[in-house]
Amino acid sequence: MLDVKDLSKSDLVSILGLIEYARSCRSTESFRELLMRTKALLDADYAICGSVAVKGIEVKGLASAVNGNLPEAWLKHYAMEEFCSADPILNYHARYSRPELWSEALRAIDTTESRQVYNHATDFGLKHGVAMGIYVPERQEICVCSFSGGRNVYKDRHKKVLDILSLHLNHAYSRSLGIIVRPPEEGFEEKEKASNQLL
Amino acid sequence: MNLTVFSKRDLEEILGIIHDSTLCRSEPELMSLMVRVRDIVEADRSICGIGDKSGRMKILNESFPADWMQRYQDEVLSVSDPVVNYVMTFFKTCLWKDAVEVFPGKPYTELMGKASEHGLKYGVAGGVNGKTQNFGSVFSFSSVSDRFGGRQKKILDVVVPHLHQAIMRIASPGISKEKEIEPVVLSVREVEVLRWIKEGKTNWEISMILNISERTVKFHVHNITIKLNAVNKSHAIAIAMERGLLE
Repeated sequence: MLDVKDLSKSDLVSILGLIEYARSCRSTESFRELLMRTKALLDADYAICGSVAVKGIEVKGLASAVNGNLPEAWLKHYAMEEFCSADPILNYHARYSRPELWSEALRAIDTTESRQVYNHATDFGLKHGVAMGIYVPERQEICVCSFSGGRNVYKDRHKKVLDILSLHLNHAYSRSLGIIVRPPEEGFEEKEKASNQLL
Repeated sequence: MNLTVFSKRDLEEILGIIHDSTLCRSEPELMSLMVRVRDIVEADRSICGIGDKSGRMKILNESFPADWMQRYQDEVLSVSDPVVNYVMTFFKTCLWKDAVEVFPGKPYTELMGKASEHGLKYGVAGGVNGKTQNFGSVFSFSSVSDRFGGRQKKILDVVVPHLHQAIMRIASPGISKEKEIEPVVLSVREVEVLRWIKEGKTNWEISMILNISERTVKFHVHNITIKLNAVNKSHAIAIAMERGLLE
C-alpha cells in the first residue's frame, strides 16, 4: 500500500501532474522537460537520467542518457576521466532498486575511486542529491535518475516523491530511448567525431 | 477541472490506485482496483473490458448484475451499447447520458431502457485505445441515482490510462493477437546501416561504404539491436521489416 500521508496536498497535485505528463513523453525533448519539472518539485538544481549497462552488480558503462541541465563541463570531464564504472551513485543503484540520498549511497559505496568521483563532482557544484534506479532486465541495464545541487536539502520527502515517480519516469525514458544522446564524443576518433556530426 | 479541487484524502487514493495499477498482474487485483475506483466515484457497480467495436469483447465484471450480464452476452448487446460505442469511438471519459445523446437511435435507447430495468440507469465511463485501431478498453461505473458529473469524469481521466495498462497485461492475450508495441525510433544513420546489413554487407564493408570506422558501425549495430530488443543482426532485420522501419 502506498503511504503518502506525509506528503502535502500540493505535492500530491504536482506528482499527479508529472505522472500525467510522463504518459505523453515520446521524445528526448519532452522527457527532458519531465526531468526539469521533477527537478522543480524536488527543489534540486540539476537533473539527469541515464541508462547504464550492468553485469551483476558491476557497472559496465553508460548506454544512453538524457541530460536535464547538468553542466556540460562536468559531463565532458566525467566522460574523459571514465568515471562511470566507479561512480558511487551508479554503483549503489546497480545493487539496490530504490531511491536513496547521495549521502547514504556514498556511505554504502565507500572506495578510493568512488570518493575520487564524488570529490570531482563537488568541484562542479554537485555536493548533495537524491537518485533512484530501476533495473531493466531485458536490457541488462539500470535506469538512474539523479537530482542534485550544492544545497543539503534532500530528505525522506524527496525519496518518497522519487519512489512514486520511479516507474513513470522509467517508462517515459524508455519511450524516448529511440533518440537518446550519447555522452559527449566519448572515445571517438577525430574522423568519427566529424562523421557523427552528420548523423 | 483542476486536481486542486479534490481533497487530500481523494488525491492520496487516486495516487494509490495509479501506483497499484502499475503493480497489478492478476484479475483479482484488477477487481480490487475497480472497487476502489467505484468507491471514489461514488458508484454502486463497476465493470471493465477490452475489445473492439465489432462486439468482440472480453468482459471482467466486478459488480454488474449477473442476469444483466448474461443477457448482455447472449444478445451481444455491446454492439448497441451507446456507452461502449462512445468510449470505443472517442476514447474519452463520458457520462452515460452524454453517450446517449451522441448515439440517440433506437437500438441504443432500447439497450439503455433494458439496462435501467437492472438498476443500471446512470453512470460514468472511460477508456483508452490500444496501439491498433478500433481496439481498446472500457471502464464503466454505474448507480441507480445520478451522482455523476465533472468530478467523476476527472477522476477517470486520471486513473483510466493506468487501469488500461493493467487490463492489457491481464486480459489482452485472450482477446487479441496484437501486442502493445512500444514505438521505436531509429536514427537516419541507423536505418542506413540496417539497410546495408539487409543487403548482406559485413560491418567492414559498411564502414567502407559509409566512410566511417568499423567500430562506429558496430556502435550503430549495438544500438539498433538494443532499440529493437533483438538478439542479433538477423533478428534486428526481421523485427525492422515486420515494423516497416525499412520501407
